[in-house]
Amino acid sequence: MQFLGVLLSSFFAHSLVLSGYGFRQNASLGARKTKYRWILLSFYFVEALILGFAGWGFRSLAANQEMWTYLTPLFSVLIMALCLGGFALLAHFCFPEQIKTDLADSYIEIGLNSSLLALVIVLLSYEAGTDATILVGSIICLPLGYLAASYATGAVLDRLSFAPASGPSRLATMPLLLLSIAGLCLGCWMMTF
Amino acid sequence: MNSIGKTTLVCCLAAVAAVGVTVGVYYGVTAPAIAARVPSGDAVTPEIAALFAEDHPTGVTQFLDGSNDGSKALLLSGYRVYLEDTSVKAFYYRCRSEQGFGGKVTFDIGIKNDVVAYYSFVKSTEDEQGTNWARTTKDFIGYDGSYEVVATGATVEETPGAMQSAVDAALKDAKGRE
Amino acid sequence: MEQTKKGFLASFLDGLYFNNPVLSLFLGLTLAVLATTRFQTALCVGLLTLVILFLSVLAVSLCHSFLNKIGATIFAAIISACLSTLTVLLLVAYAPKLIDADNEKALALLTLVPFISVTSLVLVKGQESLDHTLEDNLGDALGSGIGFLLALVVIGFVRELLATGSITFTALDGTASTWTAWKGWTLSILAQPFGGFFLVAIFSGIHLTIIEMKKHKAPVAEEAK
Repeated sequence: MQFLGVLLSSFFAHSLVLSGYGFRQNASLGARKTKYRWILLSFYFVEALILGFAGWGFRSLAANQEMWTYLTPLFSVLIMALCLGGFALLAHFCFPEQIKTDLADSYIEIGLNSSLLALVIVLLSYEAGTDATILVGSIICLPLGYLAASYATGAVLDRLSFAPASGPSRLATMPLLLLSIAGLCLGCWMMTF
Repeated sequence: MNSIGKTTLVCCLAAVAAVGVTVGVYYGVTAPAIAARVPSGDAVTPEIAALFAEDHPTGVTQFLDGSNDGSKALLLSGYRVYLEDTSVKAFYYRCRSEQGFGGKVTFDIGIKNDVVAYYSFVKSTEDEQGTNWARTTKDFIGYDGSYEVVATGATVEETPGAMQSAVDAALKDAKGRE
Repeated sequence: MEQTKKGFLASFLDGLYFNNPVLSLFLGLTLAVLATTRFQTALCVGLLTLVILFLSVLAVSLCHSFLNKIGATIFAAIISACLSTLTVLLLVAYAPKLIDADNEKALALLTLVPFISVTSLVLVKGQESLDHTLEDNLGDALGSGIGFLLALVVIGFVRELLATGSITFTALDGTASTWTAWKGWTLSILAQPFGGFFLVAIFSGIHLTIIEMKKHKAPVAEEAK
């Protein structure tokens, strides 16, 4: 039941996007309706799992050595950089041309993402003695909530691009998207489980 | 070297430098600053808290216990006192003077940087005679062992001298401690 | 790599106003939403971002011949992660009461400053600096940093005022002084992420409208001539 509670909360009140992390990258992920979009989604999820378990390790280290409390963000960024570099090499040497063209450089901003750092900081902020179910639940469910939110932001962006532009053209996109997400925040902010 | 190689090299060097600099700053700056703020020793006893009230003591470490009570020893107990201002070296002693006109007087003194800063009367083996001075005197505050503490009067003549011997013993003991 | 040249002043003004990072380009939204809960937090985070952005862009510009696009992003991220961690360590050493989690008037800098390392503002500017000269990059970094600071400060001021009716200043020793504008009429929901998204949307909408109106007026004025 704890896992279910964490899963549902990750989509609503504790959603990384609705808490304000990695919103721009989420919107660009949602806006990409390309054939190989699933590669980007998988890359984000795998990277989130790596960082999640690394964050669990940092948490254990920080319990014994105070240095790790302050240096964890630096090491998290280094792990993100390693994952991004690894994916870039994989894309360069292994992916066929079609996929490379489709993805272009979009994986760069997905790989270095505020939401991944937020995931590590959430794990660090849990009290000592927190049940392992909640930790594993957070590592798996928070990224899933982020990816699910990309469908919501993508859907809103789609709708905005079809709306008649009665005002200045740029008002039809990001500010209205931000207002829509603000509304979503308001609707979800008490929904913890 | 091609573009990927150069990029990898530069990023690896940057990562090593970043980790080195931050670990160095942690051990060189942050850890010492945190250690200096953490209160040392045990919880402050009520007598010490009352005596050093203005200085906000954060902890104490006892180095002399009360096992001298039955003997003639001048220092009954001694504590190293840690204050909020870490530059001040502070000690607390419970002293007992040898037989003066007011009997054996037990009193507390607080020493800061080798000068008596606080004094508090505790008890005396005599009821009244010669102890009024010991109860109310402020003559020991500011005393650093370089002069005689004197009080005139038939019933107090010997008391300050006896108490001063105890205070001198405390000051000498404190000078030899960290 | 071919580099375009605009000039220091043109780049500075572009970064400050015409392509303001928060209000026009929507970079650094995480910081804009989270750091603007209090005016003082917005000021501190804005200043730190300005310094870190400038130094990261300078570092990438100096090494531009060794870096490709991904490398520039990673390099900028490592530099800014190092600088933001150093900032946190210095805050813990010299201003512990300002960031003390037990003090409700303290600033939440300990959790916010690390996000400067992965903010899209630093990463995108680092990436773009490969395509411009050093002079343009420094002008753009300075302009964007100051533009980001100003945007954060304005949003933070309005948000704290509407949410609490007052502005609180916390000194280095942890004591707080409050300037109260009004009592009673407050919207505490604005202190939640909703408030950040809402106010960023409003201010960016106003900013973009002003720019679009000036753009429309300029061709009309030319036609009239």
